[in-house]
Amino acid sequence: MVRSGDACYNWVPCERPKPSSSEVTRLSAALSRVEIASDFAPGSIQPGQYLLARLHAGWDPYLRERWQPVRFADRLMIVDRHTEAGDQPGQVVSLLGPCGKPIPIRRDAQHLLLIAQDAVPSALVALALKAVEEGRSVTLVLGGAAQAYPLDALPPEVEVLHADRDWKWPAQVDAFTWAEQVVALAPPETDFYARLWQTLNQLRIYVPERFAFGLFLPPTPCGVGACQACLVRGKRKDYLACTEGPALDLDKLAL
Amino acid sequence: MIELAVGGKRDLVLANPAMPAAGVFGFGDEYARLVAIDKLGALVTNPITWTPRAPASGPRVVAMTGGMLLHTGLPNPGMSRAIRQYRDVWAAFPAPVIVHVVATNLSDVHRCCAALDTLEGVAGIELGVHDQATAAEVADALREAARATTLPVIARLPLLRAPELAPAAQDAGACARWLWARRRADDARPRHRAVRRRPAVWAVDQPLALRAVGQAASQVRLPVIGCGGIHAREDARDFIDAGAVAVQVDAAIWVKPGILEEIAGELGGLDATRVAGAWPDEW
Repeated sequence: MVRSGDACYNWVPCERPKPSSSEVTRLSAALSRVEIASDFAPGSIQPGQYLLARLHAGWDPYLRERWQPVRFADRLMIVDRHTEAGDQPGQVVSLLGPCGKPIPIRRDAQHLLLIAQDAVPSALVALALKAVEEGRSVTLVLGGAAQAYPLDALPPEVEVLHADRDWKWPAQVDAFTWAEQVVALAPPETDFYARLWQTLNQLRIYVPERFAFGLFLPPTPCGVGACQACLVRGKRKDYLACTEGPALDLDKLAL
Repeated sequence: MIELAVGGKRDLVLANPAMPAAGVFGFGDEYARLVAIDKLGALVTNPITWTPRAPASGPRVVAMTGGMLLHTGLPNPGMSRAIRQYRDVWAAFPAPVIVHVVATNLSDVHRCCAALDTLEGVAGIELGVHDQATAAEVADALREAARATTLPVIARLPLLRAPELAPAAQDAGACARWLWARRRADDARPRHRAVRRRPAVWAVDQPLALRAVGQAASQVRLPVIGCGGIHAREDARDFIDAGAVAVQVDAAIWVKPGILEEIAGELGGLDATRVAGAWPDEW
């Protein structure tokens, strides 16, 4: 259920990681991990779901930011934020959400292949953390700008591979055939999902429904399906990335 | 109570002068969990065309300093499917439903308006006027709408051409005029790639819209609905003071959904209830 409300930052910016829970941890020069006190109930935000945040009382920047929580526990929400955002301790943030649907992972899918290309893989990290807790095997492939994501933010159970410029990585064929479900994240304006879908169909005899999902995270003005700015073309119908996504079955899309 | 259908065959009475602008609130109850929809003066739906429209390709939203560029392509399922999909929502909606119709020819105007004519819950039609339309085209479209339906038809006029088009809208039988369509803006910077001539949302539009409302309210006797750059209760009140009988809140709802309720609460039962053209001692 989408709702709005204020939450308060419960963290202090610092230059180096601290083990304490209600602080900010700098993951890299560009990325920080922030813990935010929230009144959202534990478990109410699942991997893939997001919040629309507003940190300023004024109207600039105009649109709300999309916050993709990495983890949610004990009423603390953990979010990857660009360090350059310059957040201040004690800052109050207006949150709207949770928006969207959880990434639909099949119960019988034990081997998950997660692919991030030119995007901060927060949503995939959230999924990986949950999948590892559930005893699944996870391989995360980072390509392009996603390779800057700090690996020490990931649990050791997650196998991390790096793709080259041509979107190849060691044992790529094995990874695609090993996977029982694939979830990918790339900028929506690229043809990455079309290339992925093509590759899957070349390597596998049959690509069933609910096997390969793409995460669509375009700028989201409303988050409730009203503005129609995030519609994704489908084969039979169009999909609202903000409410029906962000994970959409590539089999159903007009790529 | 505000009567928007001056001289029409059917009434269009709003209990409150605040409503969302077309394209902001969805086709029905998308915002029902965030906004008390029973406090709205009306629901103005997203634009609906006779045939289905696909979403625009390429980037659709570009955040700018103090605003944004937005181009959705007016995606909608087409009038027939929209009616099938939302008729129950419109029938049960706790405020009058005004369906925003976009048509590129008179035949589509006629078919859209006729399809909505007897639909339960639909209290009016808002006819979107393209910003390149001539006065003759506006008049023809409104007359065609009047032939197809007895529902009150509101003409949505482009802000900067309102003085030119307003007399034609009045002569052709429009019951009220919404004065603002998002201005278009050019942005050809490489990082925004295909984003050009997109409808723009900027708070700075408000002074322009206020001036246009003031001009229109003194120019014709039709009720004027103000819209453009309303981001606070005070903004809405400024429009009422300038001569509008009601206001539409645009993209500010996306940023602060509660703003619509605030404005409805502020204006409900205050000066906004004065009928356009009425003397102060008549209300």
